This record gives sequence, structure tokens and C-alpha cells, in this order.
Amino acid sequence: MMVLSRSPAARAARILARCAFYVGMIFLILPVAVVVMSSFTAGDVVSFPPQGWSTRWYGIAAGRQDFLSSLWLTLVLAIVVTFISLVLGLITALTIVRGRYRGRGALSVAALAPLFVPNVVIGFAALPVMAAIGLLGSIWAVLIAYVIIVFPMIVRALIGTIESLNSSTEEAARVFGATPLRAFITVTLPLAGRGIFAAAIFSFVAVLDEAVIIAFIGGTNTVTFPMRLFSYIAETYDPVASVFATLMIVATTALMLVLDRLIGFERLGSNR
Amino acid sequence: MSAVPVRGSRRPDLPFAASPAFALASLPVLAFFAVFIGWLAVISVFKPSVFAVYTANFTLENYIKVFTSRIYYEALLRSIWLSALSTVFTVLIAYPIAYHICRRAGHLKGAYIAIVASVFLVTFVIKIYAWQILLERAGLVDRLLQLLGLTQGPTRLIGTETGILIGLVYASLPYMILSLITAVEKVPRDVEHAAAVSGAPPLTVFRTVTLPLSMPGIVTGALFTFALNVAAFIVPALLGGGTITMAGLLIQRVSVGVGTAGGNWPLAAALSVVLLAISALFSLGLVRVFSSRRWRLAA
Repeated sequence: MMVLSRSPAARAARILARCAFYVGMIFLILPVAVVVMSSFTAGDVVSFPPQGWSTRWYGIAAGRQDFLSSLWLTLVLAIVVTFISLVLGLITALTIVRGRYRGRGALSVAALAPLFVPNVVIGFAALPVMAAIGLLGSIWAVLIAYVIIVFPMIVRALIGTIESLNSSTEEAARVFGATPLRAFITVTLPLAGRGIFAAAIFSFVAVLDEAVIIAFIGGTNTVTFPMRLFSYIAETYDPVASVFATLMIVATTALMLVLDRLIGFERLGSNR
Repeated sequence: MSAVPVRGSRRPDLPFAASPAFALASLPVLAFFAVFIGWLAVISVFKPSVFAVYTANFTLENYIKVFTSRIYYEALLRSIWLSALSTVFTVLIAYPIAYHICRRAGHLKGAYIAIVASVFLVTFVIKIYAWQILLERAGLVDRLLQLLGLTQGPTRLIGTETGILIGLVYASLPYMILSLITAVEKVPRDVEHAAAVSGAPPLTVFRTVTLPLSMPGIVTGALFTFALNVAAFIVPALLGGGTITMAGLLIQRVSVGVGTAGGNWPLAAALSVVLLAISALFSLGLVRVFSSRRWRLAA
């Protein structure tokens, strides 16, 4: 416990800091709450506070085939992109952490490089190349661009996970005659399971979040959910968008609770 | 990992995936990325063409246009200005939250972090959609401003730089808070305690111990905030009201947009390269300033 000073200046500073905390938390929470509440409006346009309460927009939203197919496409895309990035990223992170060869440092810099390039730039840079190889507007172009974005995030997360693993159990398995692959699969992989799963969830959410790249290379056939929502709210102003936004908020909050179970947020960064 | 002798075996005694051959897994991703960025740099010095998007003739006119044509350099300057400003505001709002969560929240700590992480995970477009609702004429913010007597008639904040700034700050806030929580947690409480016992008032402890030692978190968060916001696309598209552009939005309009400016890939490429350079320069500058000796107190 800190030694608390009773001087008036210190007390004033403490009260001020506390106020800054509560105001900041309201600033953080209020917008999300507003979106959720706006989906229950009885009125015809999105407004806050809502004009009366009703769930009628949920019924209307259930019939919106365009949104539902975008949602489906995005979920499939998120699963496939996460799976590909996870396999490639795990092997890359392993060889970065465990390898002892020249060029290992360069590999880790190169693997993380896309993190420092804005998604707008990656999206536009993909445009001429995809046009040249004839993939523009196809799901393949989107898949490749998404893997490029997600891969470095996964590598970064897994480097941390693998570094924190104790290697002696895997060595023990090797001493008793297990092949390197078998020792890895039976011993290390389960130990790294939580970290891998957490990385997968972050990757999944990153794909659900991505609305920029599709604006460049998606064409008119491949419209993901965030892109559909983006173009809808840029042009229209009815609560259908709020309904789907609320569904997404509920889904991501549920994912967050799973993450909390996995990594335990109250221990985040704690070194005690 | 140390080498393990394996009984009677000719297997190389390396752990799984330690061999450089496994680095090939990253090859498809890195190759595509390299081609994307490399080709971007190449076409930025090509001549724009009405009929074939570009012709392979060397020219610097795209770069000249970016720096001399008002619409482009204004968007670039606005991007730099708004993302620098949003970085400052984000730190100012995030620090008290992170500090309180780490040092004062007690048993509520886990719950607060869960709230921050939940907002972090909410889709970007939805976060900005929320501000579209809040900043509308007769929206919550407008009513609040009139109630406080700060504005007379009804005002619409969408289409103003203030509106864009709010969106930029809000979108990067959860990341900054999480980054600062990690940093403040790493500040040893013993050092704070020692300073306090030696007679330093709480504010002095904060200014001389906690703040400098948590600087790495501020730098990480600021790097992310600036890089994200300087290339913002969704925020100016939704909160800019169609009148206020930023560089990221302009790249999209110039490259795939319709109208007089659409379909000019070389110009959009030059804009992208300039944006990347600004982002890199800012990051290098930030890292340099904050790794100077003033902030590197003995840990």
C-alpha cells in the first residue's frame, strides 16, 4: 500500500484522478451502450434517446438476406484465414524462437513488417497485383490480403507464448526416444494451447473488424459484414444497422469472456 | 535450448522446428507482401493513363502533384495534425484510467480490464457508427452542449474536424489503455514506496517514478495510435460528412473511386508511399525522443 499523504494538494490530485477515471470510463462505455439501445427503437430512424421501445427492427433484420449472407461469408472467411495463419504463424514463430541460424533476426523483422503498414496501404497495394494475376474481386484476393494482415499478429502473439514455455519437458520426451515432432505435439503443443487459442481469437476478431481492404479488392460480389455495415450506414439511416451491430457486440463480448477465462485479465502484465 | 543427446540415434538433436527449413512456412505470406509493397513503389513513378490505368514511363509528376496540389497536401497535413492531436488526447484520457485500474481499483480490477477489452474487441465500424448517432444534430452530444450553454442553436458535429478527432480518439483508446496497464503493472511498487517513504509527496512520486518508468507503454500506444490514425479511412468517411478528407480516404477515392479523380493508380501509389514515409519518420522520431536519457531513469 502506498503511503497516502494528507496534504490538501495530494487529496485534490487524488480526487481529480478519480474523476478522470470515471469520466474516461463513461466515454468508453456510453457509445457502445447507445448502439445497443438504438436497436430497440420504435421509431423509423436511428436516434438517441430512442423514440419508444420495440423489438420490431429485429424482425425486419431477420429478413435482410444481404446482411445475413455477408455475415456468413465473414464467419467462413474468419475461420479459414485464422486456420491458415495459425499453421504458418506457429511454424514461423517456432523457428524464430528456437532456431540458431543466420538470418533469423531478419526473418522476425520481415514477419512482423506488415504490422507497421496501414491497412489502407496494404489494401491499395494489393489492387494492381490482384488485377495483374486476375484475382481481383474474387474471394482468393481477399483471403490472401487477410492472411497478410493476420499472420504477423499471430506470429507476434505466439513468439511471446513459445518464449515463456519451459523447454525441459520436451527435452525429457526426447531423451526417452520421442521424435522431435512427436515430442512437440504431445508435450509442447498442449502447454501452448491457451496462448494459441488466444491468438486464434484475436485473429478471428481482426477478420471480423476488417472493412478497409475489401473496399479495394472485394469487388461487388465479395462483401464482408463490416463492409456491408459500413456502406449501409454511410447511405441509410435506419435501425437495421443497429440490430446487426448489437448482435456483433454481444458476440464479441462473449468471445472476450472466453478470453478472460483463458488468460485471466486481472493478471494481465502482472509480474508478481 | 541446449542440445539433447539422443541414445543410439542419427537424428539431429534439435528441438522441433529449430531448423531454418521451417522458415519457408512464412515464404508465401512474405513474398506476397513484398510484391505488393514493391510494385506500389514502382507504379508510383509511372505515368497515369486514362485508358490503361498506367503506362510504364518514368515520371515524378505524381509526387509533385501530392506536394503541390492543394487537395492532396491539405489532406496529408490534416492527417498528420489530427493523428498527432488524437495521440495526445488518447494518452491524456487513457493514463488516468490505466493508473486507476492498476493501483486503485482493488477487487474491481479484473472487471474493469474486461470492460476495456470488450470495447477493444467491438468492430471498428460499429465504434464509429456509435459516434455517428451521438454527433448528429439533436443527438446526445448536441443536447449536452446546449444544456451546458456552450452552443446556442442546434449544431451538427459530423463534418467537422472535432467530430473526426473524437472518432479517432475513441477508436484508439482501448488499445492505449491496455498498453498502459501493461506498462504501469511493470513499474515496481517498491520503488514508488521507497520514494514515498523518503518523503516525496504523491505527485512527485508519480512525476519522477511512475510516469517515466511507464514511458515504454506510452510510446507503444502512441506508435499504434498515430500509425492507425494517420491512415484513417473509416473515420473520415463516416464522420467527415463528405467534405473533410484525410490521406487514407483520398487513397481510396483516387484509386477505386468514381468521378474525375478515380482510377489513378500511380497518384494513389505516390500518396501511399508518402503516407508510409510519414508514418515511419514519426515512429523513428518518437522512439528517439522517448529513449533519450531524460526518460531512462535507473530502474
